[in-house]
Amino acid sequence: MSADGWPTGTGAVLEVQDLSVALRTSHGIRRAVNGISFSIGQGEILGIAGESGSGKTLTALSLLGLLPLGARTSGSVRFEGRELLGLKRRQLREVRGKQVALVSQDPATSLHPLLRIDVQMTEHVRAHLGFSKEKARERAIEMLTAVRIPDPESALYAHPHQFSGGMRQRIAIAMALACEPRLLVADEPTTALDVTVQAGILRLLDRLRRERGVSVMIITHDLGVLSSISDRICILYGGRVAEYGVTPDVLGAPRHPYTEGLMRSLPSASASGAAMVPIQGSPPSLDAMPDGCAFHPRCEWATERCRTVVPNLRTLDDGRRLACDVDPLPAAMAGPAPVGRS
Amino acid sequence: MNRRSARRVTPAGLGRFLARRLGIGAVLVVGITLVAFILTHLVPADPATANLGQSALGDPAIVKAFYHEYGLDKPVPEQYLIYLWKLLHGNLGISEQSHRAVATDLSQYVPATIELALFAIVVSIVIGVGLGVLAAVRRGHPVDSGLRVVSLLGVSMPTFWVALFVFYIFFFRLGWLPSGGRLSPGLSAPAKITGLYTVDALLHGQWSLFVNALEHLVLPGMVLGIFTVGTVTRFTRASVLEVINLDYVRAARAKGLSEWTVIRRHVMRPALLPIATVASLAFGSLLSGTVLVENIFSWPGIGEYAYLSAINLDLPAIMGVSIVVAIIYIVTNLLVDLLYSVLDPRIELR
Amino acid sequence: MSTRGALPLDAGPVPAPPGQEGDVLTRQDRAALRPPWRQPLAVTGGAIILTWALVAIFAPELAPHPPNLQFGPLNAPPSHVYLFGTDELGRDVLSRVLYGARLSLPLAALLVAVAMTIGSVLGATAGFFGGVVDAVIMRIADLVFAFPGIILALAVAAALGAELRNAVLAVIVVSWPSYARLSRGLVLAARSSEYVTSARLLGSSAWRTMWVELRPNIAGPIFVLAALDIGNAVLLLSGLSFLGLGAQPPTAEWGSMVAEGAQNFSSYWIGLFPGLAILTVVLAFNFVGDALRDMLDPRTARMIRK
Repeated sequence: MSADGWPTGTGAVLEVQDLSVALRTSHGIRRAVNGISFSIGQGEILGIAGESGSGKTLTALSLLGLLPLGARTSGSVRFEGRELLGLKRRQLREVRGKQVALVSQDPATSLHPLLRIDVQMTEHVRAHLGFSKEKARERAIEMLTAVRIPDPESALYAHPHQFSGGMRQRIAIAMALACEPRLLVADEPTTALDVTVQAGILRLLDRLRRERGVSVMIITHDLGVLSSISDRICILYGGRVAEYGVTPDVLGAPRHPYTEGLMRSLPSASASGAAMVPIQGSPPSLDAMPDGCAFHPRCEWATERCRTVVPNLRTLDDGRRLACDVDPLPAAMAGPAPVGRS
Repeated sequence: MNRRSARRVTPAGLGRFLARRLGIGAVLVVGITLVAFILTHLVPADPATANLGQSALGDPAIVKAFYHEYGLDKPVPEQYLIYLWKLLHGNLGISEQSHRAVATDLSQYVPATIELALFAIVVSIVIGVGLGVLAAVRRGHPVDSGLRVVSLLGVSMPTFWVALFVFYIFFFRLGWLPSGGRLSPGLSAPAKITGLYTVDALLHGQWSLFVNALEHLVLPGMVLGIFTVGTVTRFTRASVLEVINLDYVRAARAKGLSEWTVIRRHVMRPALLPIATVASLAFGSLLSGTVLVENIFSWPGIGEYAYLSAINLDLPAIMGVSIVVAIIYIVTNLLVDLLYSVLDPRIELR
Repeated sequence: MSTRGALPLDAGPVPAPPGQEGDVLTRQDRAALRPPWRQPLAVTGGAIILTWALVAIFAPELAPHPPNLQFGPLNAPPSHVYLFGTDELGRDVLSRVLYGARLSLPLAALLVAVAMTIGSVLGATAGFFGGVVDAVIMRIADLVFAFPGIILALAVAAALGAELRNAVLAVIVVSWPSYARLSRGLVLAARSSEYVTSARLLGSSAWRTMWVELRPNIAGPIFVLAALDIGNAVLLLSGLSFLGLGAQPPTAEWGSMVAEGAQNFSSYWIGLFPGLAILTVVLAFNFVGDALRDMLDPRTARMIRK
């Protein structure tokens, strides 16, 4: 643990330092992820928040070496002390599914449409853990029960299209946890689902990490999702970390103008009647990244310095990390914000 | 919870499907008989001139008797109805060339073509799928580009020319393979069970006969298959490429499965689904190819029969061939659809 | 849980499916994005077609001898005097091959143009009007599809008489349904596209918006089909001639020349060179058509537009 109690070194399940992902676009080479750092502790839920284009999905894919051809990574990704970037194929396969598992955004497209559920749920268990067919089936039933799929025995003989969206996501989660990985990476786990179903999935993730001690990294653009279950939040903008700290701090008393803008633009329960104020402008595309702080064109408090100098991540008194050079912090952000953790 | 019945193919569903498809098929066949009938009666050439000798033509009584025998003196619509009636009784008329029932002729010629076509399809699918997967997995490498050119070559070659070329090299120059026919002269066909010499020989345990029949199949089969190999390769490549970057394939990789397992279990099945479509298209081009290939290799099949009938303006034979070919086509399409529903659990037969 | 729902910010699109963030381009994608004149296959194909077109136009000047003149030694193998040798009637094979281009190329092109026009118009009509018109046209197309190409062409050509003109007609009859199906599909897709639907909701005339939507989209696939079809047409025409149902002797047509080659087996050059001619022409059109089709592939098209 570091001085401020944050997971680091061997205490951390995942430690990412200065990770960058460079892509070759139609306009040349661009860094979609530009030097981000964060860590996840044992049994912890970390939320990675950002809009589309902020590099969050690429971050998730880079952990498992699933980036598209032509992408280059740099920096360090340590899983339980072991460096993941640059691993050979064979070694990566050891990690994938067995120690770090991925749950993709849309279960309609991430579960194989033509294969039976039991095949999909047991193939990696048998490959990684060497289970026999029967034992793997038992494990599958156990996992399906854990995610509250009714009648797991029959479910095994069905195909994904016979289930609803929420059920499919539960199955995907069960599939991901079948080998008992230490880290679960969930990429937009609720985005493709109805609002009424989202809560159930989130509760499920929370319960699973409590019962099994698995760490979870949730990637989403939906702050509401994160406010309800994540312990800490890392906010990305333009491929860099904007703000990074424990959830009540970051969402309750945001210090980065972007986070502040996000919170202001959400409907809130306690300040009924308060206007929702969207942030002016739109997020930058890879080809048109502004100089200096990527957020400055949309920031009320931008100074001359913001236009030219990229702000470094600094540590504040309360332990959070902040990448903003506006100092002193404007009064507008000093007061209590309307959002709390439920 | 939202769960449908796990059984997607119910007896009732299957029955409805078959009934519907056969119904459509029947309508199609009737349409074909109509077209065949119209075509053959638009023929400017007079069948009498084609079939009677010079002196007979000069005698009006003989010509009249000819017309009467073939029912050509009745009004056309009535001729058609008579024809349909006979059809339903399995009577396809008498061929003017062989003077036997067309149905008898066809029962000999059809199995020959089926044997040839099956050989060609099996060979070309095996080779084509293998090459297509290779090209897809090695996308962008010289292997891929090379295979692309090769498959384009395959679909560009004139069948009759390739047949001649192959004939020239393997028979004329090298003498490795026989020149034509289904069996070497002097050998008699195995007792008929399916009509496919190879299968029948095997079923009777006549090993050397089997080998001989197989030898005769190789050249025409390969020539027939060239066009199809090209098509199947390109199609497989495109299909595999479409699947290989889909979310669920990436999810399979994320589970830590070996690339080989991913391709074999997760990619191949969805990629090969459309192959069934290709196979039915390929079948069409195969039947076309038989006309040329059978001609060159003296293979007694319906392609050759169609050609001879057309040249000799043998009306009953032409109509018979057209109908049989169309029926084969319809049945093949039906089988392909059934195959699809078996392979893809998402499809319900309707 | 007090704050729910997606961030109601900006006009950014729905998060792109992972893997497409930032429009990552692989080496192969970039190769496919090059314009047709930089694709090796298309260029080769175009060059071959151009060569043959020139041959067809300038055959009388290029050919060393008249194609039907029976003057030389019989069945002479290729030599520096007779580059492709002579056939069984003493005619120069090279000259006949060159003259053959004047038949096959223009006829195939004409044939495809006619089939394309008839087929697309019929198909578009079927798509526009739907109902009975659609059913009738499509049933007829199905009928034609129910026959393997050459067999139907055989029947038609035989019925009409063994002549090159009738062979052309036969191939037209066999080819038009593919265009009909394609154009009908395009019209139907345009009809139900969101663009047209929303325009109609705003009161615009259905036909006009459909035309606007269709115009850029319809030419592409149809011309790709035509390019690929010309090769097919050459194959069918020469095939019919080979069987004796197309060009009649002494016309120098590639298909019938191969047939002569079949009868004079040991003089392999008689059949070899005409067949090579057919092969190169068809291959060239397939190269071009293939490159065109790659360009029109929606994925590549989207990338180009971006």
